[in-house]
Amino acid sequence: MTRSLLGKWTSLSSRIRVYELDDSLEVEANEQYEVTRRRVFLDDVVLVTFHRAHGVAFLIVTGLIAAFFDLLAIAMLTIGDKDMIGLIMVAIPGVPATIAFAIRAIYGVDIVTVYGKRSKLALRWRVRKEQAREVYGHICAIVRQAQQKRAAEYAAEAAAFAPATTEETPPLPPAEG
Amino acid sequence: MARVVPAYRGPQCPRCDAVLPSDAISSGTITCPSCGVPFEATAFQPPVRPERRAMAIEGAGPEGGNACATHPLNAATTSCQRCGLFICTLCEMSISAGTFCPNCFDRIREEGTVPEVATRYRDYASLARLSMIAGIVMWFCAPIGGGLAVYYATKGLKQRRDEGRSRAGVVIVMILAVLEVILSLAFYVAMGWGMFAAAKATP
Repeated sequence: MTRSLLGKWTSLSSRIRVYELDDSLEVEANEQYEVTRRRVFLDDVVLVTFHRAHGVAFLIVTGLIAAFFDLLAIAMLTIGDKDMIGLIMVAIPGVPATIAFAIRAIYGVDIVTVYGKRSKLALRWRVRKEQAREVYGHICAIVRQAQQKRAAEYAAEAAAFAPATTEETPPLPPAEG
Repeated sequence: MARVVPAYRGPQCPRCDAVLPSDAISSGTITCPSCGVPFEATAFQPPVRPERRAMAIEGAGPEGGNACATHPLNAATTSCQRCGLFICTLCEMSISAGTFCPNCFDRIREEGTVPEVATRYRDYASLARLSMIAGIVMWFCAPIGGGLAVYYATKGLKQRRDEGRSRAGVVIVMILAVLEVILSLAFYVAMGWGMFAAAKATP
């Protein structure tokens, strides 16, 4: 069975990879040192959504960290502190948080969510927005294709299991003139 | 404390996770009735499998067939590849590794012997990385940490090969782990040699 990577997402607690299989989408979640694998079957998909989110919790945390260190550095500059090394030491921890806050606030996160009858999965992109849109279109196309194929198979199966036709009805007697 | 995972109840709003009523599911822009925020969606109508009827035992063949072990009124259409039990179409669990009865299917899934149906397994590449780092941090345990890292990396290489994923990271961990073992053993030998030489030099 061929597997191709559709997208991956790393958070503080887990690493998630989503693969495309012949008949399903597979989610592999690395939690500590165990991998959990589950699938959403293409012929089970009911809804595929696409939206952009900013993540309020992420913005608050990174914003607070950035504000704390940046304001401290600005305060040191304002009071005319000549200790440049101290200023740099205070400003440096705030730089990654400021960048993360700015990127998230400007670009957001594009999220594609696939809802099946029994399970769901989500793919996220921080920066590569075109890829998010492409994958959304690709998922919709393969779901449509898989469901059409399955519907044809079911139709063939239903025809094979259909009860045999009853005997032909006898011809009507000739009309009396 | 065990984490409680809420049961999945069908398509939801991707923003607020409220379950969408069936009349709200459509293609185009959907506005969530719960949070009122719009999002883009494509709806599908999954095909419904036609009802499958198991063959009754009378109809199994001219001389009568074997009955299913679980459903005595149904004719067995095949047998379980693992335990040999006769099974009907209702019980048949067909996967790439073969045809199994429901009990054997549950067992092979728990055992994880068929990777296709395993839902939880150990990530040996991550374990190898952890062992290698632990060996470096606790340098006096480096031969043990390095040795464990080599062992896990070997299993990790096989796992990655089976999954068709890149093995570059595992190879790097293995090289570092081997170096860790060699260098730590050299360190211990040098230390022992130095102590021996010092003891010999002492009158």
